[in-house]
Amino acid sequence: MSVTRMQEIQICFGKQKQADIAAPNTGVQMWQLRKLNAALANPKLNTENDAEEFGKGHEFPTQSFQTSWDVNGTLEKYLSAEIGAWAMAFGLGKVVKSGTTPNFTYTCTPLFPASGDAAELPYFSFVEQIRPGAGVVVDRMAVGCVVEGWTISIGSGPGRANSKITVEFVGSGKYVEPSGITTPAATVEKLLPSASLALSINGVNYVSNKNIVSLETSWKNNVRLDGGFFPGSGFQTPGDGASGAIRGRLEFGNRQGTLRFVARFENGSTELTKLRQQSTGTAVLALTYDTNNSLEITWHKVSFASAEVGETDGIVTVSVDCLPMWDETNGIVSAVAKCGMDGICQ
Amino acid sequence: MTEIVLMRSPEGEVQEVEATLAKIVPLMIRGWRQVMEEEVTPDVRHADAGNPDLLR
Repeated sequence: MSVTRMQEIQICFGKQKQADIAAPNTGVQMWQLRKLNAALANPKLNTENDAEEFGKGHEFPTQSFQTSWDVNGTLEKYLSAEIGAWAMAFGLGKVVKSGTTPNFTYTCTPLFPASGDAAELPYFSFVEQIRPGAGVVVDRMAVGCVVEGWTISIGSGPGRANSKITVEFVGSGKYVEPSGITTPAATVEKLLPSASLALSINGVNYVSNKNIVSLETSWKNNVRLDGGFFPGSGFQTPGDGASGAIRGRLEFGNRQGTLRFVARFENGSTELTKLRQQSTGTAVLALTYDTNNSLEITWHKVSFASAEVGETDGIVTVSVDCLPMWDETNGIVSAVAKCGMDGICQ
Repeated sequence: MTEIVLMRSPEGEVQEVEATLAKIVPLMIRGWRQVMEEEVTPDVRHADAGNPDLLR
């Protein structure tokens, strides 16, 4: 008897955004990218029963009901220009596209309802397939997913693992099985290696002074999952009230950005002074494959929330947690992602 | 040469804006969004704004 190995799994998901939460991406709007983690985005059915109802004569359940559906998943990947652009566009939510083949530029910022922006993030569909067709093992599509958050980790070393991105996503609960999607050919990605890093934080160029050891930056939308269920939000099977409720909207909650780094600490290092003085400045990190493929993230105003001297491999280092703050002109964060793929989040 | 994108303000004003971080981001956080050319209604005061016969 043959076994099914996880290496067979193929994923594809919306490169373009869905028209709305309920309208799945079509195959031509999707792209296939590889990933590093084995975890599946399993639809989870929540149930309830009638144990607490009076009139049965006992305390035991006699019936079970389908209540609602959850979908969530994680993508772990080596950081590339393509996934970087996708994560910034879908994760922050607001995109301006410029450029032409082979140099598309996506300028991304968070959405701000106070300025009239929507509170709903752009939606995409996520497909997982193992041997789709007659011998299918897994073939399903989660519809109406949004990016819950992303984390970019840069380390010291030559391998691809020193530049990674993790993207968490959550879904409306709606899924289609079989997906009906023919997975497109895998996209050839342009990796953004650790060795290409340019980094300036609060007035210090940590690459030119050769002091940066590692850094991590992240964005979290804290999506209001419970708020997705409202009177009329819909069911897994439209018109079937027993099929379990699905979400009709996915709005971000109180969002959080983080930036932390470890750098060598030496005579003249300013991290502790800047912590004491609560100096503020920009933090700009950029990773580049070539002139057409890169990712630049700018935290427009940061101060140091903590700075702790320690050691890394026997070298004295300082571990700094930055506090991203609101800048009156430029907001909190922006990303400029360049790649050769058209239509991301369009 | 810097590329130009069309941006629309929350009040509906459409402007051509240089596609640079410094120009775009301050508008984006104030509610401006990108518009594609096909979304922009020609200004009838321009000589080349559509069929002049329809304006008579």
